[in-house]
Amino acid sequence: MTLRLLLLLSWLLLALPGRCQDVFQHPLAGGDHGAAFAQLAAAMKSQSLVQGAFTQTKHLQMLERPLVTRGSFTLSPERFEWRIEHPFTLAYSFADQRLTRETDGGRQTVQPAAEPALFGFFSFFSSLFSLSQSSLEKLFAVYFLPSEETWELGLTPLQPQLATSIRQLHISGSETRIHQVRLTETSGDITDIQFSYPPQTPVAP
Amino acid sequence: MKILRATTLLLSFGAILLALYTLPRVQLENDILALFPATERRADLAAAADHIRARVDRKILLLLGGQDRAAVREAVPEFLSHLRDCGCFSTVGANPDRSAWTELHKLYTQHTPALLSRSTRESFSQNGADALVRNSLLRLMTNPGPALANQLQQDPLGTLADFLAQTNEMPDGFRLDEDGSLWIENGAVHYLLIQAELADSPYSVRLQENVRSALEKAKAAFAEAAQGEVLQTGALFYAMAGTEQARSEISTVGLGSALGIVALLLIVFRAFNVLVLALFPIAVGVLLGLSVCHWLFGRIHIVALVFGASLVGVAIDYALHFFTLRQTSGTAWQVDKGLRELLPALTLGLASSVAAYLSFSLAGFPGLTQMAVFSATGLCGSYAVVVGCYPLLLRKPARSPAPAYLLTLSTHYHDGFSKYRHHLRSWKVALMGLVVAAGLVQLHANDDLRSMQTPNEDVIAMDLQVRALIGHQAALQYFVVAADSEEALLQSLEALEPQLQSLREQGHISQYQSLSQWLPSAGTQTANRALWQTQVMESGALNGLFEHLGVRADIRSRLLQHHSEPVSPLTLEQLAPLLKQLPEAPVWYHHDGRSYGVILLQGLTNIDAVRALAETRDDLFWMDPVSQIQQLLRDYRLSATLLLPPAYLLILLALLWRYSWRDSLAIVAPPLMATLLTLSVLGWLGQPLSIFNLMALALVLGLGLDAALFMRECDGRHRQTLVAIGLSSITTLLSFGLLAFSATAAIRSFGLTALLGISGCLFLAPLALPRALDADAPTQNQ
Repeated sequence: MTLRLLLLLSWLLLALPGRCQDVFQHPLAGGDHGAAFAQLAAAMKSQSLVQGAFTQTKHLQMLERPLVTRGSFTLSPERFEWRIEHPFTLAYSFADQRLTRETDGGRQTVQPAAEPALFGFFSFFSSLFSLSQSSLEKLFAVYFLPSEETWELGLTPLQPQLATSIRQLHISGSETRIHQVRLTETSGDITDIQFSYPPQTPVAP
Repeated sequence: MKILRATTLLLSFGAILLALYTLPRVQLENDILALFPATERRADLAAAADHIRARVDRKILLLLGGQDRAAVREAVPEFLSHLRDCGCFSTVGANPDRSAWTELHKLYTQHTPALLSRSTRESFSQNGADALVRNSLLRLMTNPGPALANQLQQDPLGTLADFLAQTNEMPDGFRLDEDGSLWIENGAVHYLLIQAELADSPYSVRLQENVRSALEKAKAAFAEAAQGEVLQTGALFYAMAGTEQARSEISTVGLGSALGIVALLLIVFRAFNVLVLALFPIAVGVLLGLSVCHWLFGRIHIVALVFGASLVGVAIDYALHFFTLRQTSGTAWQVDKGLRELLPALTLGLASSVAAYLSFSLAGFPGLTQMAVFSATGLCGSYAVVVGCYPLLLRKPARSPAPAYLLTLSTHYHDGFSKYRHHLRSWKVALMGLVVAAGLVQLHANDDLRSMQTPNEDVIAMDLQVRALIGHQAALQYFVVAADSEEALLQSLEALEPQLQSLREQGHISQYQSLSQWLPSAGTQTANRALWQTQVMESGALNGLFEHLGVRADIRSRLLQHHSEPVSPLTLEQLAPLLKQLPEAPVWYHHDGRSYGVILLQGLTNIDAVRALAETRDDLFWMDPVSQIQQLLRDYRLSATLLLPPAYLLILLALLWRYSWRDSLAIVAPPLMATLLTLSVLGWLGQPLSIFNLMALALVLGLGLDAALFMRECDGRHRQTLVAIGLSSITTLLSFGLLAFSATAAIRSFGLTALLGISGCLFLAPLALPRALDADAPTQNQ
């Protein structure tokens, strides 16, 4: 089993697209892109509202086919809404550091201690847009690679507890928009989230 | 004689050395509850309080508040570094160490089928596993977070998460931020929660000093960096306020009595060396008492320290006897002869005082026992110095005789007293009697502990503020469940859950903590597994879930096998080491081979409704520390009140052996009348009566009787005797009476009673004079 897992892991690492490897060659601290990152962080912070659609694909080694979820999201400084429309209707709402889950059965508060991974996901994403370099660097080793149109952000956890389950996060986008988030677990399982934005949404300057 | 002197000399040096070694280690206690015996007659139930206390004693909470959340966050590292530098905390931080919880979680995941919440069981028996499978599929297929594979392995139906939710419900006011720090939002102010655990007992004075200076630095830095305020709570802050109070009290009461005694000595003996010598035995006595108490009791209660130190002050009498004899002997002074003359009186005095003080311990109050031991050993230390060291230091005769005006003063007082007494009209006596009686009628009792303890108001106010912010109103009352074994305990606790839950639903309590929320009994675990086996495994529900998710066939069969594997029930023994590290874990303990569980309550609003639960079961006990102690104080006050009259009667009967009826009454009269007068004044002042007043009245009886007997036996030297009684009364007043100015209500009421009673005894002492002497006094002495 261990051997197979190792083989799988090395396959996964090799199979990662080349650009993923690239960003992790560019640590933010001590690199040349500090100013560009600060600019991006400031621009993101100034957005009052981001909304769009998402497609989430989970590649689990134990599953024959990936799990695909589609839905829409709204992110404002006060609230992070994650509305899943396919394959079921289910909504998560994260506001004031409190996570609630809404199904046709009703509303339920998610206790951080009972479902830490889920809570951690929302806690992290809702603050992603307001994080400064220094606060990101408390939790992660931060890598950043801007190019003309797009940018890539790489994060590897520093806290041992987080590092036991998450290998890395790879986020790519252009201007203030995030296009893709790829979360790689230590087990090799991958969660891929693609974001798309309706054309009428104004882009923050 | 030589042996005695050598022993006492050795003893006094030993006492000094012991004190030097002990002093830096002394710990002060100021919880007034510690003064009283365990109110619970059953030691097994009383142990619950110790376990609860051990849980909270060393914990402190700090809330760093500010309008700007980011600024607060930025200021945290410096704040923490100030606290860490002092070395007084074993842990301090904004992100509590959750490694124990992670370990516990790991352990729980090995027992998922056995750990079902009540709602899961109900759901199984009502709808089978279908609803749960549907629900779980929904969550699993849409879960945006990581660790999905873990969930399939550990908790495929989300039943464990449901079980854990009941153990670990986060209070409403709390928010967890992305760093894992806890925040409390209150309007525009954001509070970051910092939890710390002290490295030593909160009663250690040295630790308190270190914490105080570290906190001052940290707070100043925080105020500057974030323009915010720091709120704090914990047993430590009550202890610190208590130490501060004791320090200021010892310096005022102690300084007052020392200054008074110094003035008295200078006036009477007119020599500075006498002054130093007089304070020497007291200093040794206090230090010895402190050391012995430290080694016997671990920590010394502030009340015991203040009382004890005052009682040792009575040792000034020993010095006074010695000095007076030396002064009156003039040039004929021979130290060995003098000591031989004094020794019986000194030894008798010591024996009777020690016996009297030790009798305080009969009341059964731990605080009084400490006080008794403190003063008894302290007096022995003082005695040792007087007998062992004085003969070496006071070989030469005194230079100046006693001042004549003291004798004149006592003569005037005595004559005036007799004259007034003989011209007293019966209507005046009746009027005085009426005034006294009117005061007595106004007396009322108050045994409310909280009115006697006067903790620092700022500390209470801050405590309330923090509690209001946290929204965590832990009740003082709790339940204890007793059982013959751990398994029986868990079963009893389980059986109580529906009732506790219904109390919660009715709003009588907001939350409770019980061990059964963390561990079902082995019986329930087995039943849960059986339920799981039929509803989840044999029904094919879990297989259906895995198929629907598309779990690969080889992994699916491995997972199915894993989830139906028989595992022996999770035991308390396995959980205990981890639970002990979690602040939110429930309290349980063992005593004499039996097992006990504590059910802590929060947000208690209807005491009667909750207490009624205890009447439904024989193994369930309602614990209400405050009302129990109040009842106990009432019992002691009543028994002390009932004991005083028989004590006077007994003394009167004993006196009849030697004296006539009239003389016996005359000897008893000063303390008895002083006692009635004191009670009357207390009545007029509106001071409530408690056990502390009655203890002081017992002291008045002892001292007043002594003085009266001296008067009766003075053999014609009544003016000199009056001077001696006056001197010793004044020193006693200086040591006890000054307690009337204490900030602790209990000490204050003792002090006030002693002040009134002892002055009364002094003024009324001539009543005890032999009749012939008294009647002729004005003419004989002219």
